[in-house]
Amino acid sequence: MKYFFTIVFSFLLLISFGNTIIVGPAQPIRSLKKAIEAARDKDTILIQSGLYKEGSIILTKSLTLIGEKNTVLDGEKKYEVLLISGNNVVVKGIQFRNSGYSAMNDFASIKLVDCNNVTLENNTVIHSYFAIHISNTTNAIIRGNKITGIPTSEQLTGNGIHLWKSNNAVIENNHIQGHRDGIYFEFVTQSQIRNNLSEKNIRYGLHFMFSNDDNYLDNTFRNNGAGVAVMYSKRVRMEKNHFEENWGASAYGILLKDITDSHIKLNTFLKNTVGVYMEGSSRIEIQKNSFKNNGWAIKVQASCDDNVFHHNNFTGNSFDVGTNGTMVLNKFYNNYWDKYDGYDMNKDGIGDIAYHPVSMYSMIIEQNPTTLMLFRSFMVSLLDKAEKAIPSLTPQNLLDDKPMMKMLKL
Amino acid sequence: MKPNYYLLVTIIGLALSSCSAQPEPFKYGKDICHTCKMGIVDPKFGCQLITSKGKNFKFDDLVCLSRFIKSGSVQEKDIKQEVVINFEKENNFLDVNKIFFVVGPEVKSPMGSHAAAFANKEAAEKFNTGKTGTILTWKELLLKLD
Repeated sequence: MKYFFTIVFSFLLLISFGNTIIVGPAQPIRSLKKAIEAARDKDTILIQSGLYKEGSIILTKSLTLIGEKNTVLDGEKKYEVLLISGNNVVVKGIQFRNSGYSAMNDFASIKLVDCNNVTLENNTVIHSYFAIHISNTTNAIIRGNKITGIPTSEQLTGNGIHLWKSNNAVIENNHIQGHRDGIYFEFVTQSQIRNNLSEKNIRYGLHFMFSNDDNYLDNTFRNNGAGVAVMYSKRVRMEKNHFEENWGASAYGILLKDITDSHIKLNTFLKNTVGVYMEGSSRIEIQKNSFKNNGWAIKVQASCDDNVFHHNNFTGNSFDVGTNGTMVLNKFYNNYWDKYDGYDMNKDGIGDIAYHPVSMYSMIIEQNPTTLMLFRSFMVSLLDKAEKAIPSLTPQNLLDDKPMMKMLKL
Repeated sequence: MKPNYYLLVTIIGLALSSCSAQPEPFKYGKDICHTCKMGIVDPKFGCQLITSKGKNFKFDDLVCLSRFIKSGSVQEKDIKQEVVINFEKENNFLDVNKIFFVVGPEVKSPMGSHAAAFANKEAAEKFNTGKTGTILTWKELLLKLD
């Protein structure tokens, strides 16, 4: 009886999953293009190890393509390797390389246009202009891919994972390096970016434009040209990410430009020139983050309002907060500042006098950047002390009136 | 006392060089756009505004230049030159008032102006054949952009 069920089930499985076509140098079908031609919806194509140079492969059927350990699809620097336009497609374990370059079109190794339910899993994409390029697609899953760009020809490289006008995408466990922007979102809604590592990209590790209602969680953005940029978007949730070592004159952990109603929670900002740079942003709750060893932990431009900073740890930053105006429409409370030297007489764990996180010197630098030369000089520390006693330049109402005495456990 | 001619020449040279208000080639990946703060990386777009005092503002897209002009940060009489990169030739700066632009969905510029610059009308028309763009002058384009 047991065997009977096994047989019946395996038979059912066979029917529902279609046939398997094997492509390989030693097989009757040697070309992937031919296999796709012969296949019917729901079939699986197993591509055996080998080098396949077939120009642009176009896939419009609902197929599953599975590669072996050394299955390589090569674009010979001339073609887009795999173009997918259809529903229910899975591409797994294939190495793509050498996509073409074009000034007009965004050539990519894997391009998805007008798709629904496509999964790209455990693929390797190397030396491509754009690695994965997705437009007008719903329910794309991009998981566990390893993407490495061309590190030499700087401006001739496109984005690692590029999404345009799509929704409900899931981008997780990918490793992206050496592209223009690691992950790029334009007009993408209701999507998740989880557990990715994006590093050594020319411009941004992650670049968001006009993309509302997206979450990015547990990612690491390290050593990118300018960090991460989140621009012109609403309702973005950023949690548990690591922003590390984004050094340079215009590099930021995160650049927030025209962002509203968003959450930044439990992130770590380590060794960035500026941890968070905000311009024209409103109603953002920034809580429980750790700012460690940055040049500036936060730069809030005067164009920001109604943002709340609470329960963050600020340690080892050269400047805690920088701003360019005296108007302050943002709130700070219950943060831990390692530079706070107040006291706590009633022992409730909260300092009795307020902390002013903007030092006079950071105001001067904002207006005249070359004065940074005098940093850590005797005169500057003298001026800072004088400013603390008799404030004149620093915004008086930018303060944390309930600073924590002890570092918060995050 | 015999004057030190080398020193003199050096000083004059330095003094003259510092006031040349010319467009500067972009340092891709290093320069940032004055308006949108994005890194400038695309060699087909990008424009600059040079003031009569010689200050050079860089932008990654024409819409950012347009926003900057319309924000009133620089008065019109102080603008010496506005230049844009030729879509067909890297680091070839063109005066915006003397050239033509193709604006259409096929042009993918960094900040969504969808405008590409061409040295003359023929080049613009040639590029636009088979595409759905419109050919505009700078004045017309400024009215369309934010």
